[in-house]
Amino acid sequence: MNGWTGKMLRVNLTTGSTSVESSEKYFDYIGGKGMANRILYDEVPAGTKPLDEASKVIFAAGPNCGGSAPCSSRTTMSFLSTFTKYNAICDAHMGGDTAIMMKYAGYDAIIIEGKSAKPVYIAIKDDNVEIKDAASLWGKMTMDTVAEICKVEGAGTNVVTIGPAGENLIPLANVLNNGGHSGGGGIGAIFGSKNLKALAIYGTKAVYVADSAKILELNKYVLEDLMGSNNNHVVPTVAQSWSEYENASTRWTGHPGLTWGAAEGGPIDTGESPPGEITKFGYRCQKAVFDWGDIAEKYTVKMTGCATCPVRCYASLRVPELEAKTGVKAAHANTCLANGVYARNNLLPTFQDVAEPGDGKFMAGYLATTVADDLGLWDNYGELNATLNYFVKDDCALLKQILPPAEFDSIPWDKREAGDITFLKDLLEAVASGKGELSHLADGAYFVSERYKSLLGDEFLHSSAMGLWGPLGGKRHHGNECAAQVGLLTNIIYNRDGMCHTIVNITGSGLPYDLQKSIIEEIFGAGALDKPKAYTPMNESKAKFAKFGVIRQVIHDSMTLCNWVWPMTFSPRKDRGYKGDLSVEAQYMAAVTGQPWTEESLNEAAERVIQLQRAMTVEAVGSTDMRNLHDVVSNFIFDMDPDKKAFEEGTVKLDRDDWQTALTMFYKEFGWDETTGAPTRATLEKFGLKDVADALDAKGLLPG
Amino acid sequence: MENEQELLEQQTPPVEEPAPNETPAAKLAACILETTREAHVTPLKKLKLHLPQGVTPEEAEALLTKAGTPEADPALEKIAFIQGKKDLYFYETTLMTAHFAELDTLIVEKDILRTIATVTRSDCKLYPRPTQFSKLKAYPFYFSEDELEGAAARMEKLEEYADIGVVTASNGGKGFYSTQFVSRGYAQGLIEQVEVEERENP
Repeated sequence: MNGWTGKMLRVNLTTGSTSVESSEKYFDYIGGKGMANRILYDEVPAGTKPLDEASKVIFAAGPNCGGSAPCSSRTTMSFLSTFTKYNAICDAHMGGDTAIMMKYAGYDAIIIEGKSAKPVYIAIKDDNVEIKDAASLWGKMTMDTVAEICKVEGAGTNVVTIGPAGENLIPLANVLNNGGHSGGGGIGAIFGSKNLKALAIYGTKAVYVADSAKILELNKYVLEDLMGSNNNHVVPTVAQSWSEYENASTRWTGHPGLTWGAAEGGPIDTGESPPGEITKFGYRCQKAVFDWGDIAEKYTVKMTGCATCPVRCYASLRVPELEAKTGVKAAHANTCLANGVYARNNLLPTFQDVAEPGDGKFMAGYLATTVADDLGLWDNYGELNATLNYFVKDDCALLKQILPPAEFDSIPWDKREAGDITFLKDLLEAVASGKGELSHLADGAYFVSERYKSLLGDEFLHSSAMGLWGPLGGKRHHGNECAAQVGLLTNIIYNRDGMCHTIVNITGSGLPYDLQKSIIEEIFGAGALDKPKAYTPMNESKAKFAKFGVIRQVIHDSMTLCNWVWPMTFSPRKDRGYKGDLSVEAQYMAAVTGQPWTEESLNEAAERVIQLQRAMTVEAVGSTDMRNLHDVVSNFIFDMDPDKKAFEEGTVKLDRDDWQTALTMFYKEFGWDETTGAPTRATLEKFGLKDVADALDAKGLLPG
Repeated sequence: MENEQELLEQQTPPVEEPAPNETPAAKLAACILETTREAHVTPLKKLKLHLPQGVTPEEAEALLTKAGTPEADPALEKIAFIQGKKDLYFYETTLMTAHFAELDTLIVEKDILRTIATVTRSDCKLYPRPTQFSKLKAYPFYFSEDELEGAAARMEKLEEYADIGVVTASNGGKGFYSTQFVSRGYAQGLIEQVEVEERENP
């Protein structure tokens, strides 16, 4: 078999049994997200709660994982959301080596079910699968757990683990593999509820492909002609001698004079890295400086990332002065918003310096990120930080109302007053402890709102301070600030933050607007892409563009390509007119599997996955009225910038009536009932989901 | 290591190196190529002071001023120039874009006001976005905060820069904008986006 291994591993923690089953019946769902979603639909009854014994976690990778395509080792995990309204289906995506190790061990998916009576971890070495005692690991931080398990299972083992937050069933608990690659959505709490500390995988088998020569040809084509930097930004941040453009917002940060300052053997200059020169590819993204600012250059050891990824978006830092002063680990790597999030806003109003004047904010952020990752505490794209800030603002007015006096007094407020950055460590440890009322601030914004409804009213979930895409509790993630209605439509599809990067990879590419517009309009029609902060009312081109965003993301999460880089909509090459190539994913699928995949057939398979996910969400909501019960967006999106009107230059605010039009057009693109937004029988049957339509029908959950 | 070198050579776009005994045009092209590789344009005045052996100043000027025209010597086919205020500036076109050559010319001529105005008008027209002070403090400009503040004050008083203004984001980050391409209100919204909002939603 090519691409797929054709097998999936089932581990039942209640019985302690393991079995290997065929995965072939799920190939219509591609793999990865698609496969995991269908397994969840087939095996976890609607109405199950995430921490029930009947709840399951599915790890899955697609046929492209292990085939060597650039950025083809992200892991998808599907389960029931612990932290958003309805506890509906939710995916988490994690970088690192987990997916590729799972494929090398011989599995397309791993199904974890049941509940162990005592702490355990699952050790997988190819065909040998054991459930091992984890009593000595329970209570340990994530990084120590990785080290301890690797001592037993061998160096090179990929360890996916929870920390104390997961053990304590904190809804915003995550898993991390090998210390820095995290998967959120509350999966850590589900691990904890099953007494599962970790999953350790080591694989030595091959992933077979049908046409290896074609794959190598595609790899060369992608690296030389199509791929830019992280998020496929195709323009460098500063002018380089080969470039026609520069845009300070991109992630192509490497340039002459900017180094990996703490590299072994001395600083390494990132230099110029022109398109086509693939040996310099890894220097394009100096992510430490992008995430943390200029101060991080001197602490940068190197860029790291996932298996098969040339982009390297994880900055590996070493900050010995911090460890000397606070005891928090000096070396750490993470990416994106997790870096430094807790030093924003007002959790700590001032910052004591650590190694040099003015470094306190950086040190506080680095400390808090390291601590949170060690605790296995998920920030939910900044939501936990926003919630904590909401409760400490105005001299802790809300916090004083929800905490018993003794608990409030146990928090070291004197440290906060002094700007002592270890206050953040104490605070996060208290949140992750599961003890007291404070921990409930990590229940997820929706459940926080429900718990303290009398204090918060409706304002909390709808506020710009929280920045949620909707009162369901998902954080806005490349929403209306990204291509207007288009970005926001990609958010409402999911039961958490969207994590859809298809659109932001385009708007953030760094290319001039007119160039972006001409390429995008050629694909989706006139009016598809607005100028930054100069929006226009909804139109059908935008609806098609938004659908493309979602479908490509599903393709990537299912076949296994990183949506934080793919698709190749644009290219860094002038001689291509900066046009990318959207056929490459299908070409990989055909080369890997030996089957005649086309762009059209891949889109169709991905849409099948979204139709299934939407049907599962309808089941979780218990109503067809998705427009009014699920796809509701936060008020701040319509009320921001009070001195400006929607569609005026200089604002990203949207218009309420126009948003309803946007939903209708989007529903139409997916073949959903245009009034309710629920999938119709005809649409479900068109995608081979008759059984799903029948099940919805039996529950009265088909529209019309 | 040898393999790495071979790989590097395979990846680097081939640029023909003239032999030492080649024509004056080829020798001039080689000089310009060397400077282009260092990411700089070659000023004519400087070139004339350091001419390759056997090339006279008159020959150099006659050959180079035809660069980029149909009458150009074939050896100078890939050489182009920018007409600056103070000089002509040459570069090799397979390694350097006209855009970068223009920026380097502005930097070499040390006219901070014209540099800021040129970059700002381009940024506001193309993207559109204000030109952040942080951009002008970094490679390849390296202007100081004081230089930028001083330039902003001087530009306010000069007619030729009447379209240039400064907007400030809520984090204190500043940027230049040009009313030729964006209104002040739009520029204000955009500076907030690039300085603050993008960082909140990375």
